[in-house]
Amino acid sequence: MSKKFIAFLLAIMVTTVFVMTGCGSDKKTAADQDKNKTKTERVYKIGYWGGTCEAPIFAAYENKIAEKLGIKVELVLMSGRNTAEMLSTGKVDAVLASPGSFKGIEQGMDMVLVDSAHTGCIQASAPINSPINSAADLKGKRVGVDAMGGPLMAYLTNELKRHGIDSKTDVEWKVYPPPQLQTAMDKGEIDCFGTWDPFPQIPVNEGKAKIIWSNTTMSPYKDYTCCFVGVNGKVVREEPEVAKNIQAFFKAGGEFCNTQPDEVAKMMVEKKYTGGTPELNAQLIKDYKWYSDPARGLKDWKWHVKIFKDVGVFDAATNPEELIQKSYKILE
Amino acid sequence: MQTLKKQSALWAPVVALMITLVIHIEMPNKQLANSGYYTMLISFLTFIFAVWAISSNFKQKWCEKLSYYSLFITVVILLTLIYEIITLKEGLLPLPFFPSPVKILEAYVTDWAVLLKSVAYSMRLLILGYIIGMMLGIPSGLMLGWYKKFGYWMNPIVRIIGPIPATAWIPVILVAFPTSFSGSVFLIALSVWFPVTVMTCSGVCNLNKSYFEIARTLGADERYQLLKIALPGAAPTIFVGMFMGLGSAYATLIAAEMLGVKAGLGWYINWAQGWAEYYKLYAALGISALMCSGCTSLLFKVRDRILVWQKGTVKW
Amino acid sequence: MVKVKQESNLNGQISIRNVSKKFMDAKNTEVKALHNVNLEIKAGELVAIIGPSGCGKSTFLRLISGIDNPTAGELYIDDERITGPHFTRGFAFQNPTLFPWKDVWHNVATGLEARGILKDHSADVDEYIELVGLTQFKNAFPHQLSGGMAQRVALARALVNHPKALLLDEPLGALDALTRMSMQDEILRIWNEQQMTLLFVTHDIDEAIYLGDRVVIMSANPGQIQRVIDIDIPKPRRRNDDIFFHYKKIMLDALGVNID
Repeated sequence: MSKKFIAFLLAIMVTTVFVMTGCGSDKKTAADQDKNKTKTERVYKIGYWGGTCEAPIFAAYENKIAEKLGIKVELVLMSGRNTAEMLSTGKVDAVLASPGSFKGIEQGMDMVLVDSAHTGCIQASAPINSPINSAADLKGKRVGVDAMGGPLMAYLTNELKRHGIDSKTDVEWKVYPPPQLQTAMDKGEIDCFGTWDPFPQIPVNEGKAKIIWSNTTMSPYKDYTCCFVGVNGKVVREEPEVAKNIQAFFKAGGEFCNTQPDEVAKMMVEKKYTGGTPELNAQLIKDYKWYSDPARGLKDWKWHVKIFKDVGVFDAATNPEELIQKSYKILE
Repeated sequence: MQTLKKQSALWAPVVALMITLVIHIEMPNKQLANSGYYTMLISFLTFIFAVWAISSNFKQKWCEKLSYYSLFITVVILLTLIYEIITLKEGLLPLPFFPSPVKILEAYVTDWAVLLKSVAYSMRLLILGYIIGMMLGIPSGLMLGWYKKFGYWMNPIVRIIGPIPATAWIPVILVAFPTSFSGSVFLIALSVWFPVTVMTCSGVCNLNKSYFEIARTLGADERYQLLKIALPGAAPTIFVGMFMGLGSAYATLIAAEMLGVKAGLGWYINWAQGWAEYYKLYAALGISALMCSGCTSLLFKVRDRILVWQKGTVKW
Repeated sequence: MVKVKQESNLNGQISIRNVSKKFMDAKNTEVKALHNVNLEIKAGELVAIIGPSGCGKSTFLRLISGIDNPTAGELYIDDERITGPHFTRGFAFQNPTLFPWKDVWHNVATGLEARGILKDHSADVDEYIELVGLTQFKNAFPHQLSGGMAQRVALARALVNHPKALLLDEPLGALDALTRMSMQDEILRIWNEQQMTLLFVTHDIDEAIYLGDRVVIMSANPGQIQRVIDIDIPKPRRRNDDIFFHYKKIMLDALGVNID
């Protein structure tokens, strides 16, 4: 093979790579792209992964809140795994920020929380005949979770601490994808499991399990915001109007959840935003408290940061004040 | 003593490492990281390569090896240095997606116990799954290539099951298998079974039929033809399938370790990803790549021994 | 000279009766490779089969070996119907087709191994390797052998089963002229010792006359036996003898080639 030919092949390969990544970066962020157009054409991209607790997004969208606010909103379906990544790279402008994103924020994801959304959507269940009734009974047991060091594990670790149980040595944590947790428990591979709703709730409704921990109903968790309104950092810093509109959008959606939970649940299932039955979704929506309260959100966020640091989910090196300063903003 | 030109090749890695060391220590960091470990690592490497360079002046074999690899090593060191500059020192690439090499090293240092345990668990899974996949794949491929009737049932199965991604199996596996461990082994075995079967079948079908005709005139029955003619004849192609299976097994590791394992590289990667601690993810991927490369080399050695008869006939 | 033990009762009388063979070619038209062929071959005879391309001589040999089956007619060896390959009818292709993953020794031993008697007869393998003069190379792999050596291994491999009949399909076609001539003597020598029926297909008229007791001349379209010529020269034959040219003239005439 002559040198010319080799050089030619290499050139093709390099060009291909550049074209592919170049085409990708053409999109830039949703914000940049729309900034180039006129103001009225700024399309708000709101990401969702299909959870019950994202109800405000769907409620606001279906009830034409966007039009009332004079904005254009587009809902973007993301995979549950990379909500934080989609947001912080600007592929979407806002998401409902669940505790699953907290660790990502700590690691530097450019997400800023601007408001509270609701309390409680994480629970843990055990088989109905199990000797486990609460976190106090978890010593020496196998607990199924959706992710190592995920929110459920963080909260439970907090609970275990209160009962003098060491989460690292006294409890065995096993990770399964959320839909498989119940199967694992049925097969006896784990003694109980915890994750987002609706998974822990389903066997309870079927009479096969009982709730052993819940941040919807148990103190002190029930008094703290669980999920927040998360906005892309760049948008907060450079497009405050957009951020305000997003906050209003979520707020309006939350109100619908408070006042018309059954209709919202029915709509969510019919339009295939989420799975499960309308009854199950309605039950969960009614259990959570929906409110928009930025100041309270800040207070609750501080509490979360403290808990996550205490149980070791956040790095020891992380400075809480700096983190909170960077990741929460009360919009004027 | 070697010539000046040779000396420059021998000492190039050391020079590159020393440049790295100086820049690493002197340039201020724009990101948060524990620089100490990296300093130790680079100093240690500098020492190693210096010793190698010095002794190359006395030992011919070492000299040859060093001068052969010198260009590659030096380029790798310099690229790593450039990467460190644009991440740790200048903060040009966004965190947490592009961690600096210093941060990645930190992952190895802080999590070495977990990583070691994970390597052991993953190896156990991989070895079991690979062996089972092969033990099922080679016979299936042989039968598939030999008996038309077998193909009647097997062909559709192979074509439909083969391409199903491992993650799609997860719900079924957990229910169908007695333990999640057996389910995980099954996933790996399945990913190995598919390329091995396809390649074995292909190897048999592509054999010159003269071999079989001659064998029959020598008194060979079907069993002999299958085991002593088809199998060794198809061996080169079977090995291709085995290499592909090795890659598949590693790729499936992440999905296989989603089912309640206590440790493992896939489990660790899932964890790191969930926490957006990409430096840990890259650290684990580095280990995984090393392991896969090691397994591939081992497989090559096995192949070279078994297929020694090919030495004069194909590009070795 | 190595004398190999005679075990089986070698007969090897072959009858071919009204044999036809049809193929479908690539364009799906019917090809009459052989049409109504009849031949009687005595036990222990050395018969050469010669003819132009497409006359069906290879097909003919394959039918006798049993690798292929006729579309009409029957073939018999020692009054037994030929329905498939058998180790009593040894075969060698023009391409030695040695098993590349086996060394010379194991290639030759294949027949015995396939029949499950290798353990007791492993000495036979060594003897036949010596018979073809390759003892020095018994551990070599096929890719290390020259064309002539490989063909000799193929011969030994076919012989190890003491076949009643040995069928060679242009065994020397791929070899250079000098090697061919020495190999012809090898074949003669082996045939003299083993005394099996030997049929071989060739392109080479000189070879046919040098080796054959009889020469079967075939013609193409459809494949048929055109003529059978007895070669009445006592063996061992010399290639320079005038009578050699006499038969060559007869052959060339029969094949339709003018030498004047």
